[in-house]
Amino acid sequence: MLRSAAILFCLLVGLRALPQDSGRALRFVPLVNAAPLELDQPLLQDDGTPVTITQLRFYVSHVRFFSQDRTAFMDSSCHMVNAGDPTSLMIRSDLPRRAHVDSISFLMGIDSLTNVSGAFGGDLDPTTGMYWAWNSGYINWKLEGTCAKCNTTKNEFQFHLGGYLPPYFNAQEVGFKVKDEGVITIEVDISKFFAQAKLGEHCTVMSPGKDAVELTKLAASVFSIPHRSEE
Amino acid sequence: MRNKVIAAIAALVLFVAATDQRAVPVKFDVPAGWPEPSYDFANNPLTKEGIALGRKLFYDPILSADSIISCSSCHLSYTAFTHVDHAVSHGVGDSIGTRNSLALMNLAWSKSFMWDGAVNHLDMQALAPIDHPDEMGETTAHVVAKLQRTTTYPLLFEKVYGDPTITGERLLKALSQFELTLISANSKYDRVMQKTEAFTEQEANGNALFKSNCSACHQEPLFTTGEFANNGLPIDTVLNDFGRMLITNDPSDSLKFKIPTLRNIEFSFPYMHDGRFKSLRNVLDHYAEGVEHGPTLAPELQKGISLTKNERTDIVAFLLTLSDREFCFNPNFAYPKE
Repeated sequence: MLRSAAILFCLLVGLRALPQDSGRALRFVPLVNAAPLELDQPLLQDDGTPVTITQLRFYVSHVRFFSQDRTAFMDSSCHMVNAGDPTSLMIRSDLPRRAHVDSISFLMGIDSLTNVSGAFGGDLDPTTGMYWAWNSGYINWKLEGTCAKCNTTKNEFQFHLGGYLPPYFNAQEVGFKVKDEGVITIEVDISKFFAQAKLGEHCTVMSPGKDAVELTKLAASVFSIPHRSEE
Repeated sequence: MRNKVIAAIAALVLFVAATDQRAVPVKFDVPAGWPEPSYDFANNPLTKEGIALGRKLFYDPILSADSIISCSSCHLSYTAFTHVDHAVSHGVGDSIGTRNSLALMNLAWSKSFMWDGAVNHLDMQALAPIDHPDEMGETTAHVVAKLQRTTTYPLLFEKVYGDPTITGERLLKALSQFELTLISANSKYDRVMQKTEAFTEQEANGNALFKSNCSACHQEPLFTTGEFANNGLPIDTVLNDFGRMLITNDPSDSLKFKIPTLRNIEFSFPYMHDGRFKSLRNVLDHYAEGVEHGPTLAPELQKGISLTKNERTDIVAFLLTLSDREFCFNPNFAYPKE
């Protein structure tokens, strides 16, 4: 009896101790015009004007893996993806790699319930700089940098996009058909954002509202699955 | 086999020892006849050590940039946790804010915080004054770093949370724990409701007038609905404060402010979001004679409140029965002596 209990215990401990990368994962790859994004470097050309990105951070929550239109796995935790922190780019799940997956979805941002449920730790800790002190709520997407088109102090642009109250609910659902691979790569090509964001018209959006919703829709459109020649 | 049994016993002993070091749970008592609190205690269970830590933090100016301003600078226990005699509050470097600090009590029942409801949860409230350049002028991340560098706080956080790591979440939840204990439910009004005391004739008349004219917004037993309303104050053209609309961007919220509780109202003068009225009499004069009509005026005030001078006096007499001296002078709420 005791022996079988001990074996069970060891099994449980063993299961927990398995390397984390045994599960399905999403890997976010920040890009500019299909090349790796480098922070603090003049990179993009916005109609010939260089753009430097100093910060790119966003939340990913409610990650779901689907198999034949059925949810195979749902991850209820919230993750902060930070282009400046390589360890934040991979989101691991407990879904075994052998499980079949044909599509995925996630919420780019934080849901309403989490927004009204008080203080959390880890990636949601309000000291991470992704929470508004003056008007409760998470910043779903934070993009900062400089561009000569911005008639602001030091030519800075600041997009702190968030808001959970209707009619300006801000988080965006993103989903893709994917190839059945252990680690699913999601490209985040920021040049798509600047192609339409019209820097110069607005360089600072830091409160919930219509502009924030429009720009967050644009931000959510920069995610894509890499194209492959055989497809 | 025997070794395994010994190991199991050792593990059990360690487990019990670890449990013993856990913080002591504290039960949250809901006063008789009151509704269930809005605060979800499951996410932040009260403990003796947690409340004590929150209290120490509440009184510690380490939360501000110049180490002069603490929470209690604007929320003094002896005056129902507000900044008495200051129309609007002042913070670091003598900078002046734009609003009268709210009295703190019965916060477990509050659904939103601040005059404009900018803060949606008690845990998140402290972020606003810490971050505000005219209040504490700090960042919460820096406060966490400062606390971690002290010799005392890591030990106190360990007593509450089991390890000495200080995080924003832990700091905020400890502050909430102390603030949640600030319950005022022992005024003369409460004792009258419990039938252990009686109103004077004047107070009884004031109570009746209150029920027919004021209690739609200042609903018993909390003496607020927790909603927002435009109570007809002419706008201060220097402050230009449009209240709730600044948060929702919705013109129908223009000039709406949080309906404050009236408990301990005797102590929390001056009154209104900008502290424009020095006395309760001034407030009643406003409702009887000074209400300015506008598109967002509270429906309850559309027809005006007709009150004779004597009736106003009687209502003030009733409002004074909402004073809870035991609350204001509770030694558990005062500056913690080491």
